[in-house]
Amino acid sequence: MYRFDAFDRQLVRERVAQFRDQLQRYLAGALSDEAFLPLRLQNGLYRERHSPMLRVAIPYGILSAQQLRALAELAERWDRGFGHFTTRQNVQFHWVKIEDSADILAFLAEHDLHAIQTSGNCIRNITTDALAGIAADERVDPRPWCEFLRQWAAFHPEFAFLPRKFKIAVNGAKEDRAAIRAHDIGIDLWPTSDPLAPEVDLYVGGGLGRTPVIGQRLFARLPAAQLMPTLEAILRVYNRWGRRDNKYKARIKILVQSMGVEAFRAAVLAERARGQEDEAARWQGWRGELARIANHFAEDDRRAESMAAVWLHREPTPLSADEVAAFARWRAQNVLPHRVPGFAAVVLVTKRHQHAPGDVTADEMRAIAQWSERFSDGEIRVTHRQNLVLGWVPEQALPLLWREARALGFGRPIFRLASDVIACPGGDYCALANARSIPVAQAVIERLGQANLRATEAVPVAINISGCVNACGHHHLGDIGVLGVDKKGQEWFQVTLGGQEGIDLRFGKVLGPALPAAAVAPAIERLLTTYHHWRRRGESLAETVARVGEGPFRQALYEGVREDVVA
Amino acid sequence: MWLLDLTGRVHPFSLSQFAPLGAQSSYLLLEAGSDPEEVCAKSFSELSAIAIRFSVFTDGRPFSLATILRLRGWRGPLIAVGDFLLDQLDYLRRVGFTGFAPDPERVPAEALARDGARLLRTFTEPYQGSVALPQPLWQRVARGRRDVAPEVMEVV
Repeated sequence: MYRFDAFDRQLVRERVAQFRDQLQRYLAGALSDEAFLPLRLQNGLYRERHSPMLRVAIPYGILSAQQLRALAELAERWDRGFGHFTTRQNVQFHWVKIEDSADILAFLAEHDLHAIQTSGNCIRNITTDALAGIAADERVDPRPWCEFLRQWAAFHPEFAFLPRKFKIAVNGAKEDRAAIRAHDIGIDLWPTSDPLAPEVDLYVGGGLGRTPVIGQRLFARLPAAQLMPTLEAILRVYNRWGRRDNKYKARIKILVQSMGVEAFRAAVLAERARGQEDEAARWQGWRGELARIANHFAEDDRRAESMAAVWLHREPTPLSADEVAAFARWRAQNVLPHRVPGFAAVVLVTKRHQHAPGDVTADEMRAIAQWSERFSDGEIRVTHRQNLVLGWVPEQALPLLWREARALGFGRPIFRLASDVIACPGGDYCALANARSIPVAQAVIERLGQANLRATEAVPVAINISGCVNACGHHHLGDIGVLGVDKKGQEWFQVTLGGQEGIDLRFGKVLGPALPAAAVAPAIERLLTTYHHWRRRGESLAETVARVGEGPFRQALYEGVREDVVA
Repeated sequence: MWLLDLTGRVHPFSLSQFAPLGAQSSYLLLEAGSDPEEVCAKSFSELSAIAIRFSVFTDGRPFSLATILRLRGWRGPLIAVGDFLLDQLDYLRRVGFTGFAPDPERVPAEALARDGARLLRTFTEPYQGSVALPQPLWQRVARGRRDVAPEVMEVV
């Protein structure tokens, strides 16, 4: 991973000092609630239902074992002993005290961690493919670009008070696992003869939330040298022209829609031309800086690969007769191909009995940190499906890792299957939520878990649950999406069908009236049964729905549900 | 009103000389949404100073307006006036503002005098280039050294 130098460290420490000063003025009454709000948000502090929540940044989803141990310590010292990994590859602590927040940030800074710009109307944490640098289908390693962008975005003086939040995602693989067209800006990297100077397909104006929009391609095959001046021009156009009168119409997607993509492109090109000479000087040497950053990842990759020597000469751990079949199923489901032969990427699924998706306790974090050191490269990757990935596991280490992961509940062979549900914190914590998403997620996990899984049903299905229209649970992108809505003070859940991730992403369609919480998991099970009945080999749920129509699915959804209990 | 300058000193200040575009004054008052092209159509040499007014501190348009005016060659005084926070001073300075006259109702004169100078410089070596310091960090320093700790500016 990228390792902080003295300058990175200094910036993070100065940020802590700045926040401590702001907090002191706030607590002393010298800074109003209204003035403190954007300051605390840009340090990851939200106000939730019960207490403030701290969202710690995990830049592009990569953590070291040491950092994960630090998060475990944070959870025990200042929270209730667990953390919640989010769909944006960050981690949230729900029970911190505002008075402790500066001390917590100072503690994080000692471990090169921070909460910079994890909230607020600014450029947020850059996200990417959780398999960056290891995916078998990768064209360009997005990690150096993510770090380059992180440094550009952190404390950018011009873009800290935008009309609304701004999310950038980067992809460099054949399959887009970062949902780049569901972001304000999506960066798709394409190789050239120079590995440090890819071409960029740049998408703009995507996003989920209240008004889901698919990002449109603004530029095709943009030379790498033009990427940064172009991003600054886009942000400047947005900062000047984005709506500020209505928070629900303030995202860049609304600006692009109202101008039209052609006019928006013309405005960006005019803006980019404006200060061309100064801009050219400003970005001089970018390739050398990118090379410095890229070298960190390349060194790590070489070190990880050299570990193979240790494992290659070992016999894999022998498994008992009982274990063989279970291991094989896990191996087939949760172990992903790697660009380097002999290695695999292992998905540790957090969806467990009586746990909220993404919740991991301090003890579990320490165990996972230890696995990453014993069986992988000492790093942990957070996926947008709220799972954790060990990226460099030698084939020979798989049985032992599986046995230990299974003992802690992280070895369920359900990656991408129905019970690998994603869910936002919902009404149990979040002040914005209309409904509690966690109990619904737990009901789905219980009902569609391992016990009920027939071998023929082992096909990928994404079930995504959001507790309100802000769509932190990415419900639009689920094969099956569940959206919590409030009707006359009661919780209801709308079900959507046929969403799809990837570069050809699609939003699910609402099937009909909302259901009460208790009816959701059984209804989803009926939808899946219907899917398996109609599915042709290799067909996704969206494809099956497109072929046979919504009729059978709508019928299944409401089967046995009394008319008077739908809303 | 009081104005904080880049050295951290506070002076009495009045907006009375400043007038919007089209008025006969060499002291120009712009709003967050003003069009920089209209300003640039007027010769910079006819102007003595430009002020940009924040109507509310969460409206970040003045940060881009200032950047554009500087990119287009305005070298004279650029003054932030109105409803902004002292906690925005570092970013305001970096996008090219040279004077800061906050709304006295938001920021009392004592607070400006007490905290202004300190809050003008929060980050010793920022990552990215901007108007005040056009070179990004990699052009200013040799990066990658973990042993040399630069002087950390204490914010007390």
